Amino acid sequence: MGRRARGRRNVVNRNLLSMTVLPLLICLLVVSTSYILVKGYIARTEADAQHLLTARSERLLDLIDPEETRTDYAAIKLEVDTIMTQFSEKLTQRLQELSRLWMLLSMVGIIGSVYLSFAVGHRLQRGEERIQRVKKEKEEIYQVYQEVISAVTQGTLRLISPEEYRSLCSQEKPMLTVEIIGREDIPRCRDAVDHLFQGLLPNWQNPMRYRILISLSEAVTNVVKHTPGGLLQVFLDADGPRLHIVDRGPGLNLRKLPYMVFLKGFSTSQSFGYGFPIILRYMREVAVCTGDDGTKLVLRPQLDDDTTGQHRVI
Amino acid sequence: MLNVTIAGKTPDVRILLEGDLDMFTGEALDKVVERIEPALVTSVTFSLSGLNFIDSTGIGQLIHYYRTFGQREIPVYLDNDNQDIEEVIQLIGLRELMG
Repeated sequence: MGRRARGRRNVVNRNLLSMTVLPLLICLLVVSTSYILVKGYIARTEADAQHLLTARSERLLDLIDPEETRTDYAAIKLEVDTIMTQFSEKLTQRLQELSRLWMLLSMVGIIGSVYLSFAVGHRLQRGEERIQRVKKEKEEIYQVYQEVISAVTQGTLRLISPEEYRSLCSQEKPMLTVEIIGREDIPRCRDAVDHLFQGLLPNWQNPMRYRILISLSEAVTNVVKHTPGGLLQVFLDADGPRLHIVDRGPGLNLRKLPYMVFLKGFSTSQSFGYGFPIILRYMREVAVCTGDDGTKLVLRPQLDDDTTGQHRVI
Repeated sequence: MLNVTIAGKTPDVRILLEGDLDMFTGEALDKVVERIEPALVTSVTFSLSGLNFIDSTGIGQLIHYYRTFGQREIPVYLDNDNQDIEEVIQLIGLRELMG
């Protein structure tokens, strides 16, 4: 996984933490503090009642005559009323305290939530701005890269966007479609194109024929060597035939593209080795659209005798 | 399709290739070359005149044989009169490599 992908994942993780874990922690803190406070108050209220009863029980016992001759029921009633009144006052006092604490906790919760919302919102906004800035920088670098590649290859090689690629093949139906799965599909693609162009192009003969077939072979071999598979499609427009070689691989590493293009024999698990310089030598125009969903190579063959590629730098 | 036959007798082996040499057919050539006993040969010549097609994978295979036999000081030669194939061989730099 690339450094950028890891960075993006870290930003996502931090945002996820801010948005879900922190508010949950605050809620948990408020709820658990409330629970502990309520429990404490119940215990203190019980203790108050206990204390009250203990203090008054002796006085009550004094008022009760074991022989029931001198029991002062009016005094007992007064004592019980006093106990009830004091207990009720204590209870009211505790409830008021609890209510005040509850209010305080609610305020803390509300202020915390509001602060977090603002903080998270601000952070998300900053994250979004940063993503946009990086995206813009990437687009600018890609544009410069596109221009440099095109200039150095004298317009032969172009990097195109997925939108450009879609517009290339949205209005036409392919004249030929061959699925690329295994190595047996390499000669199958060559034979199919050879057969199609034989009926399509009046001057279909070597060396032009060989140069187109070897370029196709290099592109299809690359699909077989380095990707799970793909597709060959041949389109025809006013400018002549176009060979589309589409794969389902991980995409090309654009940083290594100059090495693939200009360094003969340079090979990584993603490169064309000798193949790409051959393609660039023999094709009039090569368009590459690459991304996480694979690579699309569009080859526009040179259809006259001037296919030696001698005039090119490649 | 690729037909591979050993024409010359040891110690100078001549391998005739007919058809297409690419990633699909390369294995057939490998099987024949593996049968050559290096101790019994003084040179190996690949005759490409019967080839209709060779791509960079096929040429890469020839470079591999050149290096493998070269390690045992056995020279490898290419015999070719197909102009289209010669153009690709030179483009990749095989002639340069083989001196």
